[in-house]
Amino acid sequence: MVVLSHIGGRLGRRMLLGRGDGACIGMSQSENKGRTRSRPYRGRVLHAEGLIKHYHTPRGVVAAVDGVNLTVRKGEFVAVMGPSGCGKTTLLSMLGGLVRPTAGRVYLEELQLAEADDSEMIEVRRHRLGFVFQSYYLLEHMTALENVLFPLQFSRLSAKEQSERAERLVDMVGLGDRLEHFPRQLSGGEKQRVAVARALANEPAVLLADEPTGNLDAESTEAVLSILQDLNRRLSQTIVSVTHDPAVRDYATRSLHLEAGRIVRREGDG
Amino acid sequence: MKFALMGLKMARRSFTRSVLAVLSIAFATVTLIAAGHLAMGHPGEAASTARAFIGGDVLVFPQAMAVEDAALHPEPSWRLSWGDPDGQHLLSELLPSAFHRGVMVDEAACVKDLEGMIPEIKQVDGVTGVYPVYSMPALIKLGDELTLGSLRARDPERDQKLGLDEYLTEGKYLSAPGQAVVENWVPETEIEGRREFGYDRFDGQRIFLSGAQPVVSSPQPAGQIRVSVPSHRAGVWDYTDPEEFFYEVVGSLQLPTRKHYWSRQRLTMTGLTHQYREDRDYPSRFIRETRYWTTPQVQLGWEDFFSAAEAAGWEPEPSALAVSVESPALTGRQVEDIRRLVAGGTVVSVADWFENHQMSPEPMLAIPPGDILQVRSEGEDFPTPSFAPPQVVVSMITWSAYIMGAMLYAGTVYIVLMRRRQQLALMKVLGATNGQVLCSVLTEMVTLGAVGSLIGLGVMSPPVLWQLGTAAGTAGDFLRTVAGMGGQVLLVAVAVCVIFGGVPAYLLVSRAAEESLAGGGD
Repeated sequence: MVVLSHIGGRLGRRMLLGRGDGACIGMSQSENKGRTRSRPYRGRVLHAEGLIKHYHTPRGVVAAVDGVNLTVRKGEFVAVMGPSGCGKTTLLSMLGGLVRPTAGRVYLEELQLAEADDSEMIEVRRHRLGFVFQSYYLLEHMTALENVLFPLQFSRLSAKEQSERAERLVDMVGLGDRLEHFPRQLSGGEKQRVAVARALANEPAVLLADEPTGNLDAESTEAVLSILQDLNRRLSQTIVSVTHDPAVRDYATRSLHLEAGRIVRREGDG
Repeated sequence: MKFALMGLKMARRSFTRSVLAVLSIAFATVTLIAAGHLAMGHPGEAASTARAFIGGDVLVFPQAMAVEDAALHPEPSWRLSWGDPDGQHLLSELLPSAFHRGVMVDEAACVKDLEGMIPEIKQVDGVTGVYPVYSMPALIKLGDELTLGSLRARDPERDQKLGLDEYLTEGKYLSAPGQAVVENWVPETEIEGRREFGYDRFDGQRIFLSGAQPVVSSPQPAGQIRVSVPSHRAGVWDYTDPEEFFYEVVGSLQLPTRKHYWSRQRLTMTGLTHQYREDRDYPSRFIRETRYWTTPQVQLGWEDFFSAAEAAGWEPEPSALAVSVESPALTGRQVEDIRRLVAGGTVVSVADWFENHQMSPEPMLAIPPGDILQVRSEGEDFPTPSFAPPQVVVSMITWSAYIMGAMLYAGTVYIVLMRRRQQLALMKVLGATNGQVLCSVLTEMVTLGAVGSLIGLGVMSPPVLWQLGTAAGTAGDFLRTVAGMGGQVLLVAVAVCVIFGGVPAYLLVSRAAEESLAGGGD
């Protein structure tokens, strides 16, 4: 397991704060039927109400996500499980503002993403959300270090501080000896660890991971999940990960099961 | 700035993958340079023409074109020359020791005195400036045929330009049309005092040349070319080998005048003299007339000639001084002041000069009456230029080719960025704005384009050097030429890359959808 012993800044301070204390809520629209829609309340980092996403296909309208309500509290590690095609990625994309929902609202802390203008969304992406993708999506012409530095250039840190912080993050994910390697020179697991380091660069409120272990072998899967778990446990990093890998459930604080665009079961302490 | 630097870094790393973009601009650059030189013409062409011209022992008639240069005389300042048409302030009056019957005979004394006078004249009250005035060298030899070529003259009365044939066959200039026979050369000193002093005239029997008295040098032995520089400098250059003259004098003048190549003007040797005449409407004012002496095939600005001549070791010296004064009303007083300066200066007396040089006090440049110079028709002695397509065709081909190259570049940029559209979207997901992504991408693409243009320049430099190398010049001249050309090429390439790369880059960056990253899962 990677030890998060020397990560600085707000993450370091969070180590003193402990985990969030909110309960986990995850149920389908039908489960919430008749309940009053509540405004986001203190402790909720991410909150979704009645999320629906329809896609128009030649065979008609397909509901990828069909009325999902979800609240993620500070310090949670939520695993959204489900079979292929159940709408996990669509749900995560809506939570991250990458895809606009057909209906419903997503609140990131106090901000409703659908109503955010461009500049607010840029600020959200710079400082409040971190993404980890199944396909890694590293910047191909940049080294591991430069990939982590990229989001840091939007911070208020000096160039030296940015560089030091990026190095610490890469070191944190166990790639201190691969700083100057390009993505093509890294294995899948190493790329994903760089992606995790990059997602953490600006200390996001929520780290959204889309099938982070989908392309990895067992050893790399364990390494990446250990990092995420360690981040969650030691630094209270809020994480939402969608996956079809049952192993993820063991690392998360709670899990939701999605089928046909609806949450059908929840497990864990929420 | 950060993103521009990032773009530079990316350009280096993505060079091999974007090689097509680089090569497209290289292609466009090669095309541009090649077509540009095609339009320019081969400098050797002009050079060979000049050589044939000189080597053929064809004489040049330095016909003049008078240009009123009133723009150079903003009120209240004006200029006074010692050679003004009233004959009141001739240099010969100021420097009598150097003249005999109006012809300068002691060049060294004159030059020495003239140059020595400059600081003193500057001290005269009311004088605002002192400028040396140079006259034009001319190639001339009596007894040979006179070629007029495409010279132009200006009819001062009608204020329009005339071909020389036309000029000469106008009734008042030539008694019988087509009969262009010069019977005599008459130095200006014999016609001084006439109001038309500043113009060349042909009265049917004689051509009156002004401004440069000994335009005609004495007859030379066959095969010898004598270069006569104006008036007081007759017989400065003697070359027994026409080629030597060409390479050392004409050839060395070509590079400084390459601007003429680009405008497709043939090299023509040009000089100028300044004459002053009284303004018809305002008798108290004088108008300076700049007279350009041109040969038909070798055209050079006087400054070019002057600098080249200096480089060749010849130091032209002023034939006169022009003095600008504050007000015309004070001219008389200033002339007297200047005269007093000269009187107290180091002036060699006429008697002493002739005694020292054991010369007869006869005019040096008297031309025996009866010497006939035949005027030949235009272009007879000039080789036909090699193939030269019309300028408009060359321009069309040039720019069509360049635009094709630019379009190819734009297409390449589009393809390269299309392959990277997820990367562009990723940059935006990570917090970059459209403008920042565009800045990075455009910097990268323009850098690649600039590299391409340098490659094109490198490819074209040897032939360009070879082409310029056919004209005389130093390696430094060549390098300066290529560097200047490189700067222009680079500038055009960057502009083209910004425009032709910017459009596809903008389209792709602005359309790079974050949704494209929302895949991979389900």
